[in-house]
Amino acid sequence: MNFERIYQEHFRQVWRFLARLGVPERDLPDAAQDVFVVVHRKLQEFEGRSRIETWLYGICVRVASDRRRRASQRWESLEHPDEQPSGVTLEPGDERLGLRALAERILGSLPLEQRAVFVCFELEGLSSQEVAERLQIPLGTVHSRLRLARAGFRKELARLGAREARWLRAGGQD
Amino acid sequence: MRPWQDEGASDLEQQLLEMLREDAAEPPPGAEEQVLGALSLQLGLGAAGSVARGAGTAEAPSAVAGKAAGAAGVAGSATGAALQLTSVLKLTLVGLLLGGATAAVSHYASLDSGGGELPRSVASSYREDMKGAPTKGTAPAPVEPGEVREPSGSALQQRRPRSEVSVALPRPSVSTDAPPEPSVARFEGVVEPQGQQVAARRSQLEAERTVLAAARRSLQGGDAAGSLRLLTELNRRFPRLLLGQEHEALSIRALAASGARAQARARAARFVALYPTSPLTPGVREVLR
Repeated sequence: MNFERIYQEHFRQVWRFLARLGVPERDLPDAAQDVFVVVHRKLQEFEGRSRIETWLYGICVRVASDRRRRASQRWESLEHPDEQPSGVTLEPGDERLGLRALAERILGSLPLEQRAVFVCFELEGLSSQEVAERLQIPLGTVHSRLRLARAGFRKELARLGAREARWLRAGGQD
Repeated sequence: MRPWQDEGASDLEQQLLEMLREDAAEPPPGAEEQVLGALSLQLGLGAAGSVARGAGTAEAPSAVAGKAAGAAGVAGSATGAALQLTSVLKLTLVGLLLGGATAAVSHYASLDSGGGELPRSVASSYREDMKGAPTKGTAPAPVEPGEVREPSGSALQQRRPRSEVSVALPRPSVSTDAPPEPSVARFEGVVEPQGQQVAARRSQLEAERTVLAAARRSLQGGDAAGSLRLLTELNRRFPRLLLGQEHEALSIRALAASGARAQARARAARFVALYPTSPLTPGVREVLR
């Protein structure tokens, strides 16, 4: 399998996974580039010892982790709210934007290793066995991280204000 | 384990999960080609899938671009399109050279050998060199023939401004909470002198402060409509506001005061969700009460 074929077949998948790992939209081109730089350099050593998706997911997690660490050093958050345009005017029925922002913020509060498992299992729909293979971690670790991620998600939801979320979900009705 | 909805997730949790599932980010049109174009330049992509290892390590941008342009027609169709695109854009690709890339590869090197845990060491941060900050844990780039190794921690800084290889996604407004970004050579190929950027930023900041103060005074004086007009005009003039949070918080209050209560509440809830720790949030939260 050559580099170009991997790029063409997996670019979209890499992009989506990086986004779900919390890489901000503005940084996705750079992050995707980082991933494929690694792919290109290590392709000859890959030797197909694991599935290509497993290899790519691992690189994505590390690139996202690296970016998160660097962002924190710059006192930024990967889920920095300035991703959202400030002048957006919500029309009636657009309250979903608020809920979505809330969901993304909660997801962003999870440690990356938990988030990666949560994303693979709950959002990508992989089985726990597939998650273990994809992220190259033991099955028991998948389960423990998933439990922690769910608990973290629930806790953060409560903290960020379930009341506002409920209000938004109700379409802005008191 | 079973999916969360089968294991006691609340309705709200399920709804948020569903939104996250639906919200899978798709690459915008052209992103794939642009990233490939940047990769072509960075890695010196020649024939499809094959790259001369080490190419570009210490080359000047023009040489890199020239090499990439020369490869057009040899590479596969996607690569060719990307190179054509970069040619059209006359991009100035700087930084992100293989020295940094090599360091990145070193960091991620164990990926296909079963090391699945997250990295604990500090990885290469070749794009932070503009700050001159020391990079911990980065593997030194190999010295290529003819390359003069520059002092650690400032290699790219002395070489040229760093590159921001990015598609032209809309840049959001930036809060003053965030540190100002160093000047970057963007994909569009426009490199403003840093002094001009700083001056323009200061000028915009001053204008925003002035208008926000006027809008605040209008609101305090009971002229919510006038306040909103000022705020709208400010956002029209500067789509990428430097004081975005302040603008939004004031807009929410003005909307509420003008009687557009539902809209104010929706935006307030969104603000609270997005900026839970902002010093402006308590004031915005009042709109929700």
